[in-house]
Amino acid sequence: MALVEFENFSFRYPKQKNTLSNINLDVSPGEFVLLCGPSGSGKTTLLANIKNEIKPVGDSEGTIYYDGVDIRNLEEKRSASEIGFLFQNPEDQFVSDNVLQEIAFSLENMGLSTGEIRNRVAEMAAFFGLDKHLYRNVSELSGGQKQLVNLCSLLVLKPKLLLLDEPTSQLDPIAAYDFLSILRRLNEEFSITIMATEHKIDNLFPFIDKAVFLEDGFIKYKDEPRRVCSEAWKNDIFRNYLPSVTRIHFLLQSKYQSPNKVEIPLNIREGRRYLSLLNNQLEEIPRAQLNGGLKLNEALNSQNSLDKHSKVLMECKDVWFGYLKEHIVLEGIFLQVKQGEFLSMLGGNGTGKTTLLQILSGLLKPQKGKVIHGKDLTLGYVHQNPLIHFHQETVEEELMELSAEFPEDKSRSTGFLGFLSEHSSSKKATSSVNRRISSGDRSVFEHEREELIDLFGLSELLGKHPYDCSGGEQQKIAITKALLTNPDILFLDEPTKGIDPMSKLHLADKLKKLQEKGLTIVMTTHDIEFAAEYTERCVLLFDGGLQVDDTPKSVFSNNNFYTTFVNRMVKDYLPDCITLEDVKEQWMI
Amino acid sequence: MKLTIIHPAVYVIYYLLLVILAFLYNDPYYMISFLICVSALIMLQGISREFKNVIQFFIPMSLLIIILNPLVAQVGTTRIYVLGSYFITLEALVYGILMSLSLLIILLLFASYNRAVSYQEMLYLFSKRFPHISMIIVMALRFIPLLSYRLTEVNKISRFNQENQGNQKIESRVDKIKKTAQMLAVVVSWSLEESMLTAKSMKARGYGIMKRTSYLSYKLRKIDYLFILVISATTLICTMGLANGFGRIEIYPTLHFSVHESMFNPYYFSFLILLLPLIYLEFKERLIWH
Repeated sequence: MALVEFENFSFRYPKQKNTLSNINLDVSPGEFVLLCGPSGSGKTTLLANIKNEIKPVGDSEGTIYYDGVDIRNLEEKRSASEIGFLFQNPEDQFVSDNVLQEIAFSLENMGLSTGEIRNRVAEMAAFFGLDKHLYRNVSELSGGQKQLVNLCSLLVLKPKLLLLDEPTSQLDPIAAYDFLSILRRLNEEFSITIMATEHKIDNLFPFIDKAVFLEDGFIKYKDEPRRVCSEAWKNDIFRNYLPSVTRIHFLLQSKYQSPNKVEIPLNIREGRRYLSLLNNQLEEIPRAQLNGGLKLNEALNSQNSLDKHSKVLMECKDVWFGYLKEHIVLEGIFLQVKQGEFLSMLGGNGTGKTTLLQILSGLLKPQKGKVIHGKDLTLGYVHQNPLIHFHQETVEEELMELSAEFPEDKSRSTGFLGFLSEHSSSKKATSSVNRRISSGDRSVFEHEREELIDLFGLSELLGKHPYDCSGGEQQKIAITKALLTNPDILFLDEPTKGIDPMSKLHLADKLKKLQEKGLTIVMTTHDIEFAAEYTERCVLLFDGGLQVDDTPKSVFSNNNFYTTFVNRMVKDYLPDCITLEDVKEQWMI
Repeated sequence: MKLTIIHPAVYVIYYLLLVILAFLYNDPYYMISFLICVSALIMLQGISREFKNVIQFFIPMSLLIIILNPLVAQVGTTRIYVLGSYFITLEALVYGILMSLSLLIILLLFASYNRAVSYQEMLYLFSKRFPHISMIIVMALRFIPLLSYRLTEVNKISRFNQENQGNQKIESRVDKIKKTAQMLAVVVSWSLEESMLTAKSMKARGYGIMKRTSYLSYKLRKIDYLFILVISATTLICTMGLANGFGRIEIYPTLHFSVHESMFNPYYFSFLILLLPLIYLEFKERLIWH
């Protein structure tokens, strides 16, 4: 019998169209179900509806059964202890400031005796290896540990069903991987039923039992992962959601005949086995020749690109920074930012990516060392949490705000597009001329804003409150707002955090366009795939220093673990390929 | 690391008694022995840094008291002429010194108390009686650092915007206040937004559906009973002494105090004994763990 059963379930927020329509879904005990879909497709709403305590306000039709009982009639105690809900942001779920108290919190709520509470905390803390950290302050933990504490605090209640809302979206790749393997253990060894939503599914896909793809509140696909893959591949949008391994498989399949019927590979091991089946055919591609040609080309290209960006916009020299004397984050950083490049900074949680970005953008002053940049350089900065940039009632006001404050005699205001075309000359010339033609400026500025709004597709959001927009939309609004100041360099702090694959594609597309027009972009990210695909230079922070500083290709092709899935799969054949595009090019698919 | 383990309630009672006594006594002998014992306790507890902080705060404070009291209060019979016909009284001076001494003792007691009883133990004592208040305190303790983090971030952004949007340097005060208000509004709405999540997470984990229990539990042990016995007996004797005027000297209107007066009476000894048990326990632990 199903543990959770949706029967013709529909849900609608007040005064809006259906967020969920006609959902029919069975989840058996011990199943691992993955929900994916674009943001706004109703994944989170679906999960939240299973949990009475946090069920969103709105009208619903149909019923959800939990263990045969209508979930709305489930006893409070049962709902609280048997169904655990893990939120996206590890930070906001904490109630108290130390680990032990946080884990014990849910047990204390249940009114258990002190002895029982201690037993359960002891068991769980040992299982998760948190026993060393029991008395630490939660703010001292890394992101992965925080999420573990949160999970631990749910598991002490011995839940039967875990609902996870993008649990790893805020974690760095390694921490995310660790977290997922713990989920896998919980599912396999303790048969806890898990329903999770996630955007980065490469790590998750191999061990789920059922994948559910949602689109506009309807269930689009709902099946065992392999079958879902072959269905979703036919859809232009949903193919982007599939794991890289599977996508390579489908690409190859369209061109090469596999010797016998193989099942669709989901993880790297299966992917490699599939490649070895195709071994002979792949060998036949005149790769050696082609490769050589390409390599030469590439070398030339990279030479070119280096020359192209020869002008150094910003430089930091021997920068040291630490929040505490005992813990120094940056130890003597040398870094140059060149005109027109797209630079990404990678590294684990707490290696100082954000700190370095804030130092570069002038938000923080280094304790030792210097950041040198030209005097008339304008900078744009978008914080990790875009909320920080908003203080108006609507998105439109948010974007208008700048023009209201726009000083009449502002010297650099030729407009983003204009200024890009004649960068060097305009700067000096405009300062004297512009003073007199300020009204003309204003219209240029208006025009430019329209253009940016168009580019980012914000026109539909203009009337909304910024807090009501989704994470991806907020990110775009914040970026637009930063661009309105005509920055020469745009600093982005984890712009892809919690954004679904399609929006990420759009965002990357837009950033690329801006970059082509001459904008310099510096960003921190956890997203290896994103960095590999779109940036030109990667900087890897480790142990207070810049460990690697090179093109993404050479950074990732050298790594065995910290690299893209594509690279991990095709390493034996095409060691230089790190993105799907590279593979397509090389194998001519 | 805190080594001496006594029931937090016993600690609370003990420190409360000491603070009250610090108010009541004003005999220099008592005060000085009090000060020495409390300092010794702080040293043993290993919080010399806090000791320094207390002193830093205390010195200007005590100077103020010592100087101001005789200037303002000209009661007392023993006049000391300072400038021509302007005089201060010896009584007022002595009173000021003794008052600042008792202030110092109380400050040190609080520092030591902070070390001895962690806030979690305090909460434990509270939570039996007032579960919701203790929960609010816990959440506030988590919230304060978050708020300060958010404030610094918003502040950074605001300064950044100012620099990069080329705003004029000269700003009127009204503008500045407006800016600050705007910044605070951002912090508040941001915090509210995120607190919604915290509230959800609390609800999801079953907060409020049942009477809360506590992870912490302390049992009264033999040492606690002994401790209570010692301090209640000695306090009783001390109070009797106080009622008979031992430990208090007469300052106003005329100072009655002689250095040669013998201090060796049972009341003084019982006061010393009252001061010692915690020092003894800390010292014992020191010897074991060194």
